[in-house]
Amino acid sequence: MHASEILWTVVIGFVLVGSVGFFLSIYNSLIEMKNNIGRSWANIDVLLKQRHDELPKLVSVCEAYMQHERAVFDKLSEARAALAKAAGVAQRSDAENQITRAIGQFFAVAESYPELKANQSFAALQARISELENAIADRREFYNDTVTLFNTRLEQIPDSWIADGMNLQAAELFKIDESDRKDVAISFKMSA
Amino acid sequence: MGDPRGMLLSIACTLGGTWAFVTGFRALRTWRVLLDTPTARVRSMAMGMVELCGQVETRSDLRSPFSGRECVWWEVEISTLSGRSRGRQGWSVVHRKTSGQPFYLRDETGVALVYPHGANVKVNFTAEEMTHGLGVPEPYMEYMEQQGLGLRRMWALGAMRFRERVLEAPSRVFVLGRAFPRAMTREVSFSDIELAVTGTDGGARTSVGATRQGERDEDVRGVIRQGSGGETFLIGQRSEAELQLEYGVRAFGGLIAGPLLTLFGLWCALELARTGGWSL
Repeated sequence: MHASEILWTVVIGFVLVGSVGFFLSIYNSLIEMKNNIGRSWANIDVLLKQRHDELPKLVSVCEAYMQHERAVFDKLSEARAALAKAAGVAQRSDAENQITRAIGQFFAVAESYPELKANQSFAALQARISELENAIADRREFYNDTVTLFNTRLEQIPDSWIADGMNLQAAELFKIDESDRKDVAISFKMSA
Repeated sequence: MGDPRGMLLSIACTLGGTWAFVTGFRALRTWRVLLDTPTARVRSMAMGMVELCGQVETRSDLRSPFSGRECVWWEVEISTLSGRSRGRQGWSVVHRKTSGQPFYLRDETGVALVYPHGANVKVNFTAEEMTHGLGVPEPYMEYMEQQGLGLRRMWALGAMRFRERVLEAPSRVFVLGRAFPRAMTREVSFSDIELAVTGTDGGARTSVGATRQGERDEDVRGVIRQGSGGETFLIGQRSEAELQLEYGVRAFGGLIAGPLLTLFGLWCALELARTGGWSL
């Protein structure tokens, strides 16, 4: 075997091993990211479930005090019903935003009931729901970061070639409610 | 008689290039993990691979062995000067030890507990001292005695190098590792008097260090440690972007320069064989 043949054999060997290794690293990382999206969503779901479990308790504590506020109770139950029908990330995030809005309105109305505010169970539930809301917001941000990284990889070369072969689709973001994006009008009434 | 210098060079290049190629793949894996893992917050971190940024806080009174600095993690390294062929000399590490005590990592949302055992800690050397033979300063000798290093007196006759790396609170660090749920603890008694009656040390719970430690452990949201199967576990004072750059350069450097170096080594060997320079 000539020297040049030996060298070419080694070159081809390195190119083959390098290409296969590089392809495998992209393939594995795409699979890992896809699973990470599923995991991130499941981690949000755990907290959403916990928040749903708190809602009936909240209603039962407040019912006695807020008998004239049928509308806020209805909105809350409507939001829960919408969530039961929701399928997929987009519909689910819409329903979750509806619940978040309904809870916000509920607490805003509860502010005008001093006796309710003084109730320890109500205070504990309010604190618990606020804590869950914060954790949901963090996990939603994490989920969206994971999805954005994955979607970016699907559009980059050479990852996009491998992703096409694997039939991977872009994942959906957990969008926030449009009403949360609106500017809040703040006006000060200054006395002369 | 062949050319031993050429033979050595070709062997070193061939083996070194292959080693660089293999380590390039390992760096590529770490680089991918760094790129693909978004930074989480302690409050809402999920169990599994996580990336966190925060300040380190002490959990136990820990001092580095050489400089005696208060820290959350240390690593010491003792080297001796070894003679090599053709008058060249180099340091060879004869002892390396790392602290394994856990420490807290706090971000704006909560506290996590980090077990640094097995982590690749990216901290620069903070202390370095060299001796030039005939004895070493007392603190180093004391440390070597404590560690039971049998050859310490012989090493002390020649030149030695002592290096230390420490991670001090409240440094800001980047952690990439696996999150686990924190261990649950249950109080079996609330009264020091009851503990005293049983003959156990009830008073220890009220000592300053012990109380503070217990309170913080209750706040811990999760434990970060090394996962199974040699999973990536990084702790670094550098930013994520710097670490990504470092591992990217190492990965692509190894994958491109490694094969080139191997080819050069092989070419040298083949040339030597052709000209009759490769013989013993």
